[in-house]
Amino acid sequence: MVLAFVYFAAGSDQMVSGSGRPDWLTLSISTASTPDEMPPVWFAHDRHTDALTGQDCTTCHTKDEGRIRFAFKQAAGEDYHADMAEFHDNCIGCHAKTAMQGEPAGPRAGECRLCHTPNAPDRSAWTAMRFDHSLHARHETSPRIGPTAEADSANCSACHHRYNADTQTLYYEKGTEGACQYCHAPVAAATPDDPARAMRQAAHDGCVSCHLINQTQAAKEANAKFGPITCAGCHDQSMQAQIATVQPLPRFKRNQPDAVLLATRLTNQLAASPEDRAPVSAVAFNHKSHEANVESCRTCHHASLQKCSDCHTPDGSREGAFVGLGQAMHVADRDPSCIGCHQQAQTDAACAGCHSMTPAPDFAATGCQACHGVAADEQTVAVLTDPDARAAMAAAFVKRRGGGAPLPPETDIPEIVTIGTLSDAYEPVRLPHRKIVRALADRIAENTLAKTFHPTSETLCQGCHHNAAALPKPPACASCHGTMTATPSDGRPALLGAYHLQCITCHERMGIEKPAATACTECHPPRSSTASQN
Amino acid sequence: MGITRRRFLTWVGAAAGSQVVVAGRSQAAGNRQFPGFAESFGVLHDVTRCIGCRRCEAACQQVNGLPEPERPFDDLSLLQQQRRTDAGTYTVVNRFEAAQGPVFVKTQCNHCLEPACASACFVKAFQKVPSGAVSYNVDVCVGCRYCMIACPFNIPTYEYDNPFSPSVQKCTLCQPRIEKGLLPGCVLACPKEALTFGQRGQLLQTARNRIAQHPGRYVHHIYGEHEMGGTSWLYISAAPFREIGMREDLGTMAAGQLTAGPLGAVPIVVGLWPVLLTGIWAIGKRKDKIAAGERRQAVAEAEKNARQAAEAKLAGLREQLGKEKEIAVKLAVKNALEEAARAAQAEALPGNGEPESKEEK
Repeated sequence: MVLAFVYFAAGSDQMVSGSGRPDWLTLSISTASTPDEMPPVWFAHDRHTDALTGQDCTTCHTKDEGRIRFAFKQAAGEDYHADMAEFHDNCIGCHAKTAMQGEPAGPRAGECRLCHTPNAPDRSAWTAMRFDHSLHARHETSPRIGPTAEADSANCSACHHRYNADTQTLYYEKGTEGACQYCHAPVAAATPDDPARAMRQAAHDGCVSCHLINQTQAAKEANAKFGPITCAGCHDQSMQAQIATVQPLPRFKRNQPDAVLLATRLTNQLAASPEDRAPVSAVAFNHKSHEANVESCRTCHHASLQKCSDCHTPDGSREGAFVGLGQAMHVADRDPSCIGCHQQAQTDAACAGCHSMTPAPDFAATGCQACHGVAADEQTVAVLTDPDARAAMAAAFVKRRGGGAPLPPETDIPEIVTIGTLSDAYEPVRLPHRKIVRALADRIAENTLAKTFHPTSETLCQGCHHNAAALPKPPACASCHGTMTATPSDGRPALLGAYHLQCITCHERMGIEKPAATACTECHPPRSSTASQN
Repeated sequence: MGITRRRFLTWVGAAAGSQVVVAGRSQAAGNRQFPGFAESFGVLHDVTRCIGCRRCEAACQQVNGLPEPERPFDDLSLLQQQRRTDAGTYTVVNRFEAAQGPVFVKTQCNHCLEPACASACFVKAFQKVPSGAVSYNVDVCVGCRYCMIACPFNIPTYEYDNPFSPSVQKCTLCQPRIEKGLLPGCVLACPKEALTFGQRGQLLQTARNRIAQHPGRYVHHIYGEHEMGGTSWLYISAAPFREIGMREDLGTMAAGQLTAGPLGAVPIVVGLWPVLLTGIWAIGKRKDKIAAGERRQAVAEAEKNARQAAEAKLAGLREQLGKEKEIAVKLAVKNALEEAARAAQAEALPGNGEPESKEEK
């Protein structure tokens, strides 16, 4: 009977997508599990919320200064046996009462294992909630939230706060806003000095409480909106997909710079002994453009909103886990590093056609100058000490950059290239060269990263005409790729392989489905005399 | 009294145990590891490059003079089913659905460094030749098809439709072409250079370079570098090999090594056991003989002793009888003398009837 109810109820949950539930919680009152103890209870929270329609959260939770306390109200968390009795009395009591009224109810006394099961009764479909740039923008502009501090003119103070250890209170300070995770760790190691709660607890207390308050207010107005208050509302994938995105995204209002002159190593070098080493050119960093292209501030500022070099000093420091500035910026397989993120961007279909062919890490194609473009000359040295002049210089460099180089004049791009060197079974291939160049250019026309890192008009040509100097008239493929022999080669493909690898791999990576890789005659017209043999 | 069952089993057990120890030690001491013929050739199959055009299959058919297939090679719908090599097909390309999308894998003889087929063949029809190929000699083949059972890659096939001179068929690595300095047919035909021909050592280097230069593109494994003791065909892939129909449970030991212990024990068993068993039998036999002799001797001695004892007893008895007779004679004489004396007294004293009776006597 009870099992039947479980399945019936699971089937009736409209909000749960696919298989599994996003709302499984484990209820456990013991921290140390012993073998003679029952396994924790798997509790489907939203199922209980649905079953208790018409009753509010206080059926199970207490309210503390108008905000819900997200723990079961009767459990004091002090005495094991008392808590166990409270859970048993209240859960089973409510189930029994519901059953008495002739309604479907959960397990009752004696059906221990229906609640205490070692594994979840169903797959968990829980998906982490990502508070991305767009969702931030929605909260920032919501008229329903409103500031909680006088200093705040927007909604910032409703969520962002700091902690005063002396008075043990939260307060708001304008201009110090940062990501929740900077203080609220995934697992809280709360100390008297740093009582920040775990992210999970902080997020539920902050977000859900506020949504509940808004729900109460919204109930008075017709069709008013409020944020999700159930588990599925945030942690179900299909529900997440329904959250509207803001376009265009507004910038964060935290006085962040548009452009920054990154010159830490140069500054240090000048202060120490300029003669020792050649000075490192500075980087004019387009902060504004990066903001728009990353998920959140935390993508780069992974631990705090300080400057990178505050922790990642040139030679490494304890604060930066001894990861030096050079490593932090250049290590190719780490996400927060510049190179790591840029290489990730190369896997985009518009870029992957050319970039999947070149071995990684691909510094050689652009060289250091692409980023380190601000020469360590007298003019640069002069502005290092003046923040305003620095910013102005960076802005000037950034403005100059990123426009992208125009394609060579159309007349310099051959329209059709006939490839007939290997013609045997087929007629020569008539490669629509100009069409290909234009298609490549069109796909990255709006890509600021590509514009910045394709500095000359011939850079794009190097996708196919690789390993040769970027010249208006690059050497023929056969200059480097010869015939295949049984003698060892240096790893470069023979001409037949080179052509097909280049064309077919590029089409695959860029998602060009036609012509199919095996549709030989769509590129090679069949040669009448030999066509029948192939 | 023959050899007991218990004693026989003890002997046999001890003999078997000593053989296991001896065999194990000889194998370990041998430390036989065949790194492959130096500068032998192989082929590197970069699975990420294969597009499933079946040109390798067509080239294989052409250069080996194999029968025309029922369906032409440009019929790619054949890839929808899983195929394997057969007597008229040395290589097939199969399609697999991996997480990255469709993956095409060419299958043919992997030309193991220490081939299982060769180790199973008792007429040495298969041989690993220094060029890298595992060659097949049809002239000595007896058609037992042990090679087909031994091959972990399911490659050798049999001409079942040839009733008079059937032979085992498999890829030859185009050995005749290699000897002429030509490339294998499939390698030459591959438009995407998914097949690279070269010395095995260099191919391993090429494979490692490709994996290193394109992080994340390949699974960090060169299939065939160590599988079954190493193969001349090597594979690199983006999808895990088990997902593209390649066995990952084969281990790194060559098939020959797996069977070397038990098979190496065969000569010992065949040579030693008759001697051993005969010895056990002879020892048992000799013991019986000695025991029988001893028994006979003991019986004879006992008989002799018994006879002597009986004679001694008889002699004693005789002597005793003699003595008793003498005593009886003496007693009778004495009695007679006493009687005579009494009769004489009675004669001397009248009135007494006694002397009269004595006289009468």
